[in-house]
Amino acid sequence: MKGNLKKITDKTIQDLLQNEIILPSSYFKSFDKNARDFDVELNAPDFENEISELIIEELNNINRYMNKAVENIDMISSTAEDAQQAIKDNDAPRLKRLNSKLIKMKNDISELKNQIYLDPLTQTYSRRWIYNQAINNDGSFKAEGLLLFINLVDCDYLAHKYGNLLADNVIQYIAKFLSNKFNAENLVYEIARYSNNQFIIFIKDETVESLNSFVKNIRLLLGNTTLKSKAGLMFKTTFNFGIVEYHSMNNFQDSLEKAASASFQSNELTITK
Amino acid sequence: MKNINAAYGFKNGDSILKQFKKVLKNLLENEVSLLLKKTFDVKTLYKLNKHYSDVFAITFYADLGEKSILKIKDIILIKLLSHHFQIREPNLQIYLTTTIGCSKSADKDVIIYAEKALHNAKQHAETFIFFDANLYKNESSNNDLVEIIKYNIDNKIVEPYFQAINANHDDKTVKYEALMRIFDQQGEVLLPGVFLAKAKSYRLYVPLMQILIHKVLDIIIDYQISISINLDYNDMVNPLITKLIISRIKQADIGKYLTIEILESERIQDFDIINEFIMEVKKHNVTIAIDDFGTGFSNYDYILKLNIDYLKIDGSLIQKIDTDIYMNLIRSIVTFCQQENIKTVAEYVSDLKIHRYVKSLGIDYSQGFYIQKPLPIKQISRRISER
Repeated sequence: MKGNLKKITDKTIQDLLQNEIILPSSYFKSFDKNARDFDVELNAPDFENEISELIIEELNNINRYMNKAVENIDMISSTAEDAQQAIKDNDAPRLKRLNSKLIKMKNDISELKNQIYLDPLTQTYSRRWIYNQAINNDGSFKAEGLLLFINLVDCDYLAHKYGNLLADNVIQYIAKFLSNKFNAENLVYEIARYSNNQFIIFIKDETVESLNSFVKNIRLLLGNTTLKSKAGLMFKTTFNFGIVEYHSMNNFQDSLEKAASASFQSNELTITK
Repeated sequence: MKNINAAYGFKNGDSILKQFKKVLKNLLENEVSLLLKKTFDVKTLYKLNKHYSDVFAITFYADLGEKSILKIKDIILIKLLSHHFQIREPNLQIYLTTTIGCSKSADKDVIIYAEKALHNAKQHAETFIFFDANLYKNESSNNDLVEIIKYNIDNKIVEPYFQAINANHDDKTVKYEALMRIFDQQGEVLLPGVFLAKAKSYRLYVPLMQILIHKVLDIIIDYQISISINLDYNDMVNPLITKLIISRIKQADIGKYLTIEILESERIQDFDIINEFIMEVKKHNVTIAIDDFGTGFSNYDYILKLNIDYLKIDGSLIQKIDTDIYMNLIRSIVTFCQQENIKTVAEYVSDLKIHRYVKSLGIDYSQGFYIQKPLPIKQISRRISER
């Protein structure tokens, strides 16, 4: 259920992204339509129960994160006191033990952060990360860079004809493919899954022209790759993309829409400055 | 089928094909039609014909789903694999192996994709491969790629880009590796990973290499800088390439500026031919390196069989140099090379941390994005003149 609701939400946002104003009624209308496509009947009697279970699960998750955070805060406080005393006593073995404790805490916090901000399927950042970490509260960018919007083609077709599992595998594969290629090129970047089949990559210290050339190359590489499912289906897949150059205080949503519209308009790259 | 013709003669071969078609016809009329009608509620027209040689084509005129396609495949395969085919003389019953290539499309290209699927299945020893032609609509970019390669050959615009190789003792550039780049009609640069395999499979690689070698040797003459080029086994046994290199280095006496990096992408089958080439170029002071050592077909045996001066440690090992296992592996390669008087080069040096590890292990040279990204000669010459 959760997976389907996420997909319905993504599809709804995707449908409405181009609209300047989104009224609650238009959101609900689009959500309802997409729910039907996913065979989810919003007015069905058991739907409310499932939603309630989902909310309880989310609340439990939040509770778990809170407990873990409180536990770590308590530990920081006691560790700080211990450290003060150990420094006073010049107690090296105790400081070593405290250091191990701090490393464990650091790992816990990082794990916690991952649970909150990582997309479970692709292990890239989630949309929540974009809105909470990558941009300011007022929706502006924190620094300058390039926004690369990637729209995976054929995912809906694959899901419709061959099932969600295969489509998810393809999304997973492409996320890994993109990360590997960006790493190999030594680019400074952060990748987030914006919706079901769309990724946003924030890139620093790169020119539009060189990024354009690089992305064109990796798109051709992907086009040359034949993927194979367990059932024997062989296929190729590709993506459309748009690049937008942004500066700090530029509005994220505006830049995203420009990049998305560039990618949707054509298979060829469109650069918007 | 060729085996059956060879073993039992053409008459028996033809008879087997007739029996094969009959079995298929029966299956389609009965089990397959029944399955489609009863299980999937599909009533469809179909056509069975001999496509060519021992290949039969069955066309269904309906939008069949994945489940029904897989079910039909199972019915056909199980029946054909278990059926006894009759050989007349001698009186024998034999079994056949069957491979199915399947495709789905609304247009006439469906047979082309089925053919591709069949080819692929045979190549990978699979019994069944299915191509959904709808998911191959972007394949035109592949055809465009062949056009781009041809355009680069016709207009001689394939270019070498140069990546610096620095000596680790003083961080100074001592050499550049020439890397092939081609350009599309809009002037956009394409990387080797995108076009090399295609150029090889369309037999367009040699002319690309010839242009590249000419340009690299011209640059050596103009700038008097040391450059290395990559050659694989096929290049070194190809007289078009070896004669070109030898005649031009002889003519301009530039051998001392050239290093040949032997790629490990193709297995070296004949060491004598390669050593003959190495001996010939070494007469003109060309140095030899083994590229990408530690992956592919490379091994210590190669080093001992070939008279080499440099060994380039593969980037996939260097990238993991901060882990104990890989560090020990790299250390053992370096120690071996030091004992054999072979200089070592670390590839894929992408950041300061890796560079420090590389230096601490006593590797002689570094190459990678941390040192310098590949650049066209104009930018390299600007850097040289600024120094």
